[in-house]
Amino acid sequence: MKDMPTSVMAELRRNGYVFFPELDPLRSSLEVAECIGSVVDLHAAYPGEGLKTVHPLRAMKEAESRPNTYSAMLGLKEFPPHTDFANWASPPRYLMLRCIVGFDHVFTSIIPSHALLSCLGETISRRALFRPRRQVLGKPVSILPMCFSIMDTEAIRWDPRFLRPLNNEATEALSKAPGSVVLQESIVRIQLSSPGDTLLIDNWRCLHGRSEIGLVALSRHLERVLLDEVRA
Amino acid sequence: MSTSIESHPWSSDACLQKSKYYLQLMEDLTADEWQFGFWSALSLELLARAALAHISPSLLADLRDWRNIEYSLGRAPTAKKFKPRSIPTAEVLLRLKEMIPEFTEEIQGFCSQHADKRNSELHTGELAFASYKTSLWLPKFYLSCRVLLASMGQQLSDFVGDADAAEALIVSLSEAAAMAVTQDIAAYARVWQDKTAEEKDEASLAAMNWALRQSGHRVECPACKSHALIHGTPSGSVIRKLSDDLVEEKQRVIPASFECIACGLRIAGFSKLSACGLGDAFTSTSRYTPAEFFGLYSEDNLDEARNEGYEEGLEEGRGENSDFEPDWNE
Repeated sequence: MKDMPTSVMAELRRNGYVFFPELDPLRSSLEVAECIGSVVDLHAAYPGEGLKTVHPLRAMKEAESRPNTYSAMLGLKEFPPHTDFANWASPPRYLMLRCIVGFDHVFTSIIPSHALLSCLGETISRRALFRPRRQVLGKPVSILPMCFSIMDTEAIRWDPRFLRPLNNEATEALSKAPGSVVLQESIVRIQLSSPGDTLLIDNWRCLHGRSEIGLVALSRHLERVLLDEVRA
Repeated sequence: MSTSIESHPWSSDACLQKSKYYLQLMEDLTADEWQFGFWSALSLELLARAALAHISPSLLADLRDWRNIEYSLGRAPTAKKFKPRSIPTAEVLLRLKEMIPEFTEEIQGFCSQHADKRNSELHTGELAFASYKTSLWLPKFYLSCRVLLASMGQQLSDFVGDADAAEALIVSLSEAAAMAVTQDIAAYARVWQDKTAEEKDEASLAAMNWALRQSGHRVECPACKSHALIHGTPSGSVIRKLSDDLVEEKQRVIPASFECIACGLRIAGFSKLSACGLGDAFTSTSRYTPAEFFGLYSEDNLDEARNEGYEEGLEEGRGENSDFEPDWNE
C-alpha cells in the first residue's frame, strides 16, 4: 500500500473514519500504519513509561487487566463511546485498529462528533470543562475543554470514565449524553472480524466504543497504533 | 507532533482555560456576593497571562534566572530544586500595554487596580471585594476581557455566559464616558465664552506657544478652539528608517490625556478622549544623527579628543613625535 488514494482521504474527511477490509493481512500493524501516515512513537516520546507504539487490545476480564484501563473497569462489558487518551492535553489525531483475531458478533461502534454536539447543544459543548481523573505520568494537571482547536482544526474530547467534570456544563453533558436518541441513532457499527481488517478513526472527530464480548470471543485480539497525520 | 500528554502550565491555552473556569465560578454567583469580584480578579489575571503567552510564553519568564526562559520553552529543568518563576501581574500588564495597542493605559490601569484588590483580599485583613460595587468595575472588566480575548483571536461570546449583557455593559461605559466628557466640554466652553476678547487672545497666544509638537500631539481644543496637546502611550512596533545622515523612528501612540492651557480643559482616559473625537492614534517620530543613535563619536568629538590628547602629551613631555595613542573608546 502506498499513499492513501484521494477517495479514501475524502471518505476520512467526510465520515471521520475509513474501513479497509483485509488490508495486507501478512504485514505488521506498524508497517501498515507507517504507510498510512505519521505514527506516534509513544515509546520514544515517553521513555520508561511502558507505552507501546503498537498496543495489543485483548478481551480481558476485570481482574486480569492492568489497572486504569477500560478492561479493568468494565471487563467484557460494552465500552462506552470515548476519545482515546481524552485525558491528554492534545489527544492523538488518528488511531488505527487492526484485527489479528476477530469475531463476527463483536462490533466497534463509531459516533461522529457532530452527533454529540447536536445532542448536547452548543452552549454546553463550548463551555464544558473537564479535568483528568488522575494525574497522567506525573505531569501537571490542567483544564481540558470538551471542544478545543489545534492548528485551526476543531476537535472534541469525550470520556465518561477517565475525565471528571469541572463545571456544571460538563456535569450536564455527562448526564445528558448516555440516554440520547440522537447518539443512539448515529452509531455506526463495524466488524473487525477477519485478519487485516483495519479501521482508521479520526480521534478528534469521532468517538469509538466496543460492544460486549461473549465468552466465545475471549481470544479476540486487535492492535492499535496512534497517528499524528495521514498521508494524502 | 500534535499529540501531547500535558499542556505547559504557562501556555496561552492552559491559562485561557483556567481563566474561563474561574469566570464560570464567578458567573455561578450573584453580583452582590464578595466572591463574584474575587473570581473575576483571578480570571482577569490569568486572561492577561494567556494574552502575553499567546505572543510567547517566554514573555512570562522571570529574567532573574535564565532557567525560567528554558522552562518557558518547554524544556526539562537543568538544575536541581529549580522552581519556575513567572513575572508579577503588574509587569504582565505593562508588557501588554506596550505590545497590544488596544490594551490602553486606561485598561491597564483598571486591570492593575483589580489585581490590587485581589492582593488585598488574599494578603491583608481587608475584605476588599465586600464593598466594591459592580457598577464601578464590571463594565471595565468586560471591556478588558474583550480586548485581551481579541488579541488571541477569541470573542467575548467564547468566554462569558451572556455575551449580549456583557456587551451592553461595555456600551454603557462609552455612553457614560461620552456624557461626562460632553458635560465637561460644555462647561469649559461657557466659561470661555464669558472671557473678554483680550483675555481670549492672550490665552490662545500662550497656548499656541506652549502646544509645540515636540511636547506632544497638537490638536484643537473642543471647548475653546485653541491649540492644545494630547499625550499618550507608545504602543506597537517601532518602525525605523536609516539613511546616510539620519535615523528616523516612528511609533504609534494611543491617546491617554488631553490638556488645553487656554481654557484649562483637561480630559483623562482613552474612553473619554475617544468619545469626544480625540481618540485617534497618532505617530510619534524621533530623529537622530547616526552618532547619537549608535552612540558613536562624531568627527568634532574625535578632533576635540585628539586635541586634548595632544595637549596632555605636551604637558607630560610627550611631543608631537610621541608614540602615545589615546584609547578613544574608554
